[in-house]
Amino acid sequence: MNEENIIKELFRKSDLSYSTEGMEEMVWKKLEIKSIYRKKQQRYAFFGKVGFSFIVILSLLFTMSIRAANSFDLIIAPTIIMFLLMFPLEFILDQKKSTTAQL
Amino acid sequence: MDEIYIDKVLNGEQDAYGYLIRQHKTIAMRTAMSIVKNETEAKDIVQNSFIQAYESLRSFKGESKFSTWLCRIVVNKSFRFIQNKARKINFEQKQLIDNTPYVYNEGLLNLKRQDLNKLLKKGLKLLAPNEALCLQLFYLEEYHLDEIEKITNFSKSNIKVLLFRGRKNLYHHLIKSYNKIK
Repeated sequence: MNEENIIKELFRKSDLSYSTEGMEEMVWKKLEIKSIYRKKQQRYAFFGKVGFSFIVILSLLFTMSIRAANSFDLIIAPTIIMFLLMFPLEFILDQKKSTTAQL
Repeated sequence: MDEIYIDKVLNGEQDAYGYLIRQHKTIAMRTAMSIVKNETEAKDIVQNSFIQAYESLRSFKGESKFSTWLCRIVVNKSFRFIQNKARKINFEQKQLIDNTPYVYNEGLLNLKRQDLNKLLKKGLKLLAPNEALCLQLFYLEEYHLDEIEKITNFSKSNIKVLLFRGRKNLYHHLIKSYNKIK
């Protein structure tokens, strides 16, 4: 019997297998986590876009108001509003980061 | 049979995918093990491969068997994994080919199945990933060269060389281990 036939015979005689216990459950679990993460990501992306658009509009309004009033007094109020708007955005981004870290 | 379950999954019956996992997890695990050589890592790769297969099931055209397609994903992920880890595993095959004389050892064939499995697992672990992969796909899963070509992306001539080298190396590893336990 040559080497090739011996190897063939050995593989035929064996039933090589490794533990696959809990494989199915883990696949479902990972899929679930992935879908939750994806949904969250979509939600954050939506809020991010809305927030960003809002800031751009506010900036435009701010510029227009300065030009119209031709005064520096109007600068302070919109700036504060803009900063206040930045906080929710930052919160959202932080949440997103922590979710990524968990995964 | 696989096609029926694939259609079910594509039609929204997610649970049907469980059948595909149960049916192909053994071959997927053996494929990953032949490359990464570590059960925990192989398990993780197989799980991720099943997830990828599930997510891109719509792109499966049915031109090959589902198991072939899945194995291709497993092989890609496994090779990427060992590349990323830049593993350096010491393979002894080169010296073995040159130095060890051909000895026919009948005792190997008379081993109990349990002992043979242990010996084979050990032998495959010592082989280079591409050799172990080709041997496993050819002898254990009984795939044709065309299918192995699809799965591994190696050329047919390369697969033949890998099979030849793999056989030699595995045989010598087995003889060595057998003589130790004898």
